[in-house]
Amino acid sequence: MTQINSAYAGFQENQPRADEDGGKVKRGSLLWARISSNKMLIIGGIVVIFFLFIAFFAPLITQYSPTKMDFRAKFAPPSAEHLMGTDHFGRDTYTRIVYGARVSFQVGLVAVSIGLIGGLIFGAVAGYVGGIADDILMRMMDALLAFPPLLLAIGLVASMGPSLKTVSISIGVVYIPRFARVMRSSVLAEKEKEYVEAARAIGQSGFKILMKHIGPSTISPMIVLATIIFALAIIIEATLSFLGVGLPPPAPSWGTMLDESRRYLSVSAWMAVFPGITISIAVLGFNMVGDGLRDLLDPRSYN
Amino acid sequence: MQPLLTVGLLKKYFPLERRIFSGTQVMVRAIDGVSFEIQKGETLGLVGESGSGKTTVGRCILRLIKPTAGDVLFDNMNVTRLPSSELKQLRRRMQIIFQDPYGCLTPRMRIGTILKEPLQIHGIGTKAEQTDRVVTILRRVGLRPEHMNRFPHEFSGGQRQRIAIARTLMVNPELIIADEPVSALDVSIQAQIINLLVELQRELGLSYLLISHDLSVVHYMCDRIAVMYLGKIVEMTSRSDLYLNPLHPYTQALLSAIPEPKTGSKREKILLGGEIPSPINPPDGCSFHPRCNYKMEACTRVEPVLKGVRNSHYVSCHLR
Amino acid sequence: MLRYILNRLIYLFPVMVFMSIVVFLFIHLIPGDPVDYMLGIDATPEARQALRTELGLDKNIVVQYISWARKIMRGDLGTSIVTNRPVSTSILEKFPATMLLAVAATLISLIIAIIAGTIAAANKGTWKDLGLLLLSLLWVSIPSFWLGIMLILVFSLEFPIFPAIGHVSMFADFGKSMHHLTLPAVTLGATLAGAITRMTRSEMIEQLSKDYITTAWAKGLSRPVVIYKHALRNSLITVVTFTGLQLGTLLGGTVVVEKIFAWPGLGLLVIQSIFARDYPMVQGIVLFFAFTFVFVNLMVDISYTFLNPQIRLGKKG
Repeated sequence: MTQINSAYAGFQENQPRADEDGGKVKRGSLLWARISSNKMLIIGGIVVIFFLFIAFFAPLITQYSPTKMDFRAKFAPPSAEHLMGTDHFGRDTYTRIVYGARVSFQVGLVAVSIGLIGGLIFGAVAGYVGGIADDILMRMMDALLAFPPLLLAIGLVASMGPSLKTVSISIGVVYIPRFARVMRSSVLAEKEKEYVEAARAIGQSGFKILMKHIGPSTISPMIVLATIIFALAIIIEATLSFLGVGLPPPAPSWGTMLDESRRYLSVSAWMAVFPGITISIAVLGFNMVGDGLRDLLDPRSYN
Repeated sequence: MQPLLTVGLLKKYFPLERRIFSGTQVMVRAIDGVSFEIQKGETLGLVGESGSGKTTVGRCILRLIKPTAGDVLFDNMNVTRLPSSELKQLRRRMQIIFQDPYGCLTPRMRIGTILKEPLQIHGIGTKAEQTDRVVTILRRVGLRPEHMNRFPHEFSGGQRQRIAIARTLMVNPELIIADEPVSALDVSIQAQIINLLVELQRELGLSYLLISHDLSVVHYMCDRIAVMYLGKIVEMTSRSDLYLNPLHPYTQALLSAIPEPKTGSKREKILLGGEIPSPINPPDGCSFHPRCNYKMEACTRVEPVLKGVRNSHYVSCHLR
Repeated sequence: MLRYILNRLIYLFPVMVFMSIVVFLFIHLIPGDPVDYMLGIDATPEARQALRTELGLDKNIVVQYISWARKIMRGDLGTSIVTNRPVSTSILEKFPATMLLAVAATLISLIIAIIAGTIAAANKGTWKDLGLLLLSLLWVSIPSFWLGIMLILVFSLEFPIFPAIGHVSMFADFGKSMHHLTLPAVTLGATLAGAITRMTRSEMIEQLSKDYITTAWAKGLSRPVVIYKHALRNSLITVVTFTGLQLGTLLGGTVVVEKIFAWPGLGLLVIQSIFARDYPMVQGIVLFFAFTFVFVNLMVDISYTFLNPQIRLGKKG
């Protein structure tokens, strides 16, 4: 035993951080430095957290009900009583926008979850198992990808009958292939590496190799995609509602609000302004987070 | 004495392209009939240039690749015919060290997790016992227990190779296949790792199959050596015998190229013409004949067979 | 070359089969009886049975699909419940309007994007670049329907420059036609422009870092020549290809824009059909859009392979 230790100790090797005990702290602070210098991520992150906040605490920060009508206060411009004015039914716009954040977040969360999990399973199986399974699965994914996302969503929602549930599920299904592709290419890239062969050599089962060895290296691109898809989900939900095939009234969807505003443009332009700005900012926030995350997790990507 | 490992007429052919409609498939003959034995506690060296098939031999023995033909017998179990459900127990008794220390450890797994994994797969020990064993083995390979919580990228090449060695030791194997274990390391580190392997062998009674293209390493570590060329073994004998009395022209050329530290000593370098042919279309007769300085007429037509010349010195050449 | 095309077609065939299965299933996703849904409660039992037989809903699902698929291959997309005319006829009628919109929008977006992307790339890292990058990011986030509404507000209501709705055929009165086309085309094109700008920028940056550009600088060529004549020309292939791939977004966008501006194209038709519960029409249009997308992609692939001499001449190092 001592022979081995002396054989090691007697030689100066180029020792990296591992030999100093400060290793753990240094690793953490390096990550923090990269995050804080990434302005996209910070700003986008603030926007997203802000919306999350108002969605969650909606009842606490509003005084009106999003659906109660008040015909005496129709088409009011912004004032102290109604921060953003009222709509054609006299409902307070600000309240509806805040509750609209809830709607958007719910849809986004469910849609992304479905897309991510579905895509993860299909992509991992296609990538790891390969062969005919890969061929068939990828062709199915390509088939879904060939539809313009909005059209496919419209078709699915219209058939199933519009509701919060069907909208979320349809959007999720529409985006499964994108997640699947990303997952598959990550798995393919890792599958050939030597550490996977090493795991097989010690007797590890294929499923566990996927989960414990290959898995962690596939997460980051999926997370980046998730933020981008969240943004898309918000837009599609708004578009569906705008077209009249989304959430049925009187649900306070930003898209529905924009649709309603169209008819009364000459009477009250305010109705159209606020929902549009809100959608844009929310989507922008998520896109920035996605961009920032991409830069953070993969410095090789071109800017 | 019953050998620990017996390889008999092992062949592995790879198809060149994936053809849906089969015609005559073009094959790469990576291994074309290889046989040898390893006794318990012995180190057999498998030497050859890249393309000789030596790496594929290691993979086939462990059944990481399925052989096209031939048998591998480990302690009287036929590895090649083993059903996949029983492969797991095999993976406990035979282990492999890979060439690239930078690629063989899962990047986002901590060392402790990597080392515990073999124990978990085979259900050995409680959590506490597993941790103890990891600490013990880490110390044995010259690292420290704190290293358990670090990630592979925090270590140098030499340290990573030690971790890889540690991983093979976790389940007390009997045979370790070392596939170019030091080729990717600095020369100064190579010596440390080789010494480590030798110590471990002495201590634990391990048997090694050392695959390498580096003759000086092979000379230091091995009891017996087999020389491979284009998928076949051309010469196999004890270490001393090989270096003192190489019989095959290829072996002679290889040995003549070893740098000699002594100044003033003259070693004739045998230069081989041409390059190693493609394993898709090996030459007729003796596959070495296009480059051989001693070739005879028979060498172009008839393939020589590996036969014993004197006390376990085997050679495959028409000259003997 | 021919082999490449054949290969692609062989790959695409199962994809198109899967696509048709998806569209076929739309009708079957309807909770309850599709015929009831489409005809409403006050339809006569005879009418119901007639529709059921025509759509093949009384047979088993696999047989249904096969007969439906066969009809598709012959070009028969079914009959509209609302108009009782063949779906394909309606599609062919409305298609030109959508085409016009799509082409105009693509041109507008290309012009904007190429100019913006080139400026950004040429001034990489400066305020101009960052500004344009942020702008394009913003652009991608603004929903097209809001942009459309805002444009109507400003350019139609406040300052009556452009008409908000309606369509005039190009052949009837070109000037008026363009007049009506402006707002919808700008709306649709602007939404596309964001993504294409970013693509142009990154492609130009990559080209500008290549050796042949350095040679051009060394030869003493002036800045505009290097940027436009050399780098831009080589970036164009990728940019145009990318634009072709945006066709999916474009087609989706036409639905929205056509509704806002009452542009009588396929997008508007699909919305109207959904409200009218005219399923054969909906299926026909969605299938048409999807197949068009596949077809255009194939053309883009082939022309890219053709234009890229490396692939055409067989990968000479």
